[in-house]
Amino acid sequence: MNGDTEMIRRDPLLRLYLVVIVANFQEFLAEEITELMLDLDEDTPFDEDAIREQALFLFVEFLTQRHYSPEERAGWVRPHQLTEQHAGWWFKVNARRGLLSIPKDEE
Amino acid sequence: MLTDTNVQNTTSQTADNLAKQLQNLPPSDPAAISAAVAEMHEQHPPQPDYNAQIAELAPADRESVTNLIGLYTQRQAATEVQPPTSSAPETFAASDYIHRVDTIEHQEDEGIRSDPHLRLEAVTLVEALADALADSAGRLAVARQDNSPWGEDKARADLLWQLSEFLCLAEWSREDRADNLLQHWQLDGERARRYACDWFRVDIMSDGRLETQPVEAS
Repeated sequence: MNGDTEMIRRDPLLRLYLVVIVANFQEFLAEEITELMLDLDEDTPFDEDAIREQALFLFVEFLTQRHYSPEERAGWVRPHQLTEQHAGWWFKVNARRGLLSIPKDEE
Repeated sequence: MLTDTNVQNTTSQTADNLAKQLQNLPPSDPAAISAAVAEMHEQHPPQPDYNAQIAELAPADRESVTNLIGLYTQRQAATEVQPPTSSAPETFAASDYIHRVDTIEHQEDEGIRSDPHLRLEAVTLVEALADALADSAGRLAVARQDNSPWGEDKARADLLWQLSEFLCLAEWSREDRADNLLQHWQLDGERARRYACDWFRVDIMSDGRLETQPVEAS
């Protein structure tokens, strides 16, 4: 918990690791929901995207330790945005074809 | 059909009525004026300028938010209450409409939070995150050349905090981080499963199996 907040946010190593974690998490979430769908009743139609979104919403509520209304959740990251590109945009990391780098003007 | 225009008309009519009441009050009655103003603010709180906020977003995110608003509007239309078929004048108040939509959304959310499959799935996601954070924090501490005894813990705390910010596309203050967000030590080894099971109302059986507790959706 020590250190300047903005300095931590700018930490290039931290940002690179975060992009990797996000991309891996997307893969894990997709696999898990696909497995879950297989376990569910085949006769009942399920919307895989909706279930993925619901699982992510429960997960984020746990991370932030509170419940949110739909309006409060409107700006959250969606499952399809758990990508290197989107995480790269947020964490200011260049992410192209699996290659991650810190913008040159920061180096 | 009750449309946004109807709601706006009803809202503006109510506001006009309140304004007229204000004009009719004697000038020497400040308490009544204050009460009327308070009532008006309570019924019609000022709305944030969402369009301005959306305009400030990055292009990719702006498109995403715009799509989300479209979906939300469609869902509201789908859950809209049908108007009476008689030719009686419309008496459906805007506040009733908003309250009904809120209630439906609240029930939907509680249904999701009570879903046993999703709760078990969420525990699995938390355990996976705990593993990923532990793995990355160790390597991040080494990469930072932080050899202190708490170097790995600090790395894990930073990762968890920044990941939470990304998932909510928000910036948490230092106070939020310390008081409201999940703490890194709560994802430490077996604790991750215990905290997740507690939050998602899941029992850990003696043989290690997970079983959801019965929950009534409110």
